[in-house]
Amino acid sequence: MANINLLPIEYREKEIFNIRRVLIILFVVLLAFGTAYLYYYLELQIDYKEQQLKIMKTELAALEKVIKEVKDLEKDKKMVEERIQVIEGLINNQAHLSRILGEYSASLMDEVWIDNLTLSANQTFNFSAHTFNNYLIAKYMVTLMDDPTFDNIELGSVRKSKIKEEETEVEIVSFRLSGLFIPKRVE
Amino acid sequence: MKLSKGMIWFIVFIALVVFAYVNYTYVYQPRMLKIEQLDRDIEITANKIIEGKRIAARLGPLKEEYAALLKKLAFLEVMLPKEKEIPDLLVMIQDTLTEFNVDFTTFTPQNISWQKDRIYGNMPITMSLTASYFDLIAYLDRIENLPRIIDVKSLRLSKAGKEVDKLNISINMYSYVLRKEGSK
Repeated sequence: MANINLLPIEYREKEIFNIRRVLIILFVVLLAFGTAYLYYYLELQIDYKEQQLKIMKTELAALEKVIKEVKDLEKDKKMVEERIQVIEGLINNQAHLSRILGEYSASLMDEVWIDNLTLSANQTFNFSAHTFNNYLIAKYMVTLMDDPTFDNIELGSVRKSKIKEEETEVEIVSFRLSGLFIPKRVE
Repeated sequence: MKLSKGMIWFIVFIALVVFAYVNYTYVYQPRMLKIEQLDRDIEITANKIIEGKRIAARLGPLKEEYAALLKKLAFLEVMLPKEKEIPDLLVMIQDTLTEFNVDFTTFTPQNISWQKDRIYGNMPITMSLTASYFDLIAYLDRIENLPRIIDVKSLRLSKAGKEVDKLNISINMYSYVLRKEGSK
């Protein structure tokens, strides 16, 4: 015989485990849990990354002191290098007129007597000298022109005169020459 | 009031949508933006650290190079003093004159001329001497190689009276003075 509940609805015993209600509650709990998990997961990520950044910034701050030291040192080094370069430039650009005089004396002919000589740092020279005749002047000029140490040899003037040599008068010519000296490279 | 089943589902759907929107807007999106910003900052900082380490690695060799340069400069600064140091210069020149049998008539140091943007000044000196041609060459060679830079700029030679091998010599030369650091 079947058991039939004849009590009116309001008096019937309420169902304790309504499956639909349980599912809804479970869903809501899951949603709440999921939201909380997401919240904490993201916060954790942020916290971790902030910590990482903080450590890196501390490292960078320590490095920046060294970088500043390197940059200051590079600046100082550049300044010292410039000073050295300037001083070495002065040494290397010395006119070395002693060398020019040496080369000049080597080019002189026995028949030519120098009266006066002017040498300048820009390697130009001019001198006045005496010899016996115009042929010797021409020969001397050709000698200088053929010498790679000299360039731009120009004759300024030639003047005939006489000097006394052991009671006799000797005819000589005085002349002026100018030119450019090209020093040989010294290694 | 009893709601219909369709209405209940509609309300549940709306509630879910609102819940999802609130979560996305106020929980997910601002934190993701912050994480992205942090990632960017970390990347930038990491690059700076790599670059910094690369620069910092140069410190050791740079210190050595700088020390070597300072040593070289100290040596060169002897050749280019920071003061006129005329007494020392005069002694050097006199020693050389004596050594090479050169007579001097005048020695005239002039005021230092400073040029803008140059770390050194020129101190012109004129000298009058009497010497033979070859003594002069030896003398010039020596003063061009003194421990102080002396640059003979020009010279004039002429016969000294009746003596055959003696010459009157007039020399214009420059000595240099290093500008003191910080002076204009």
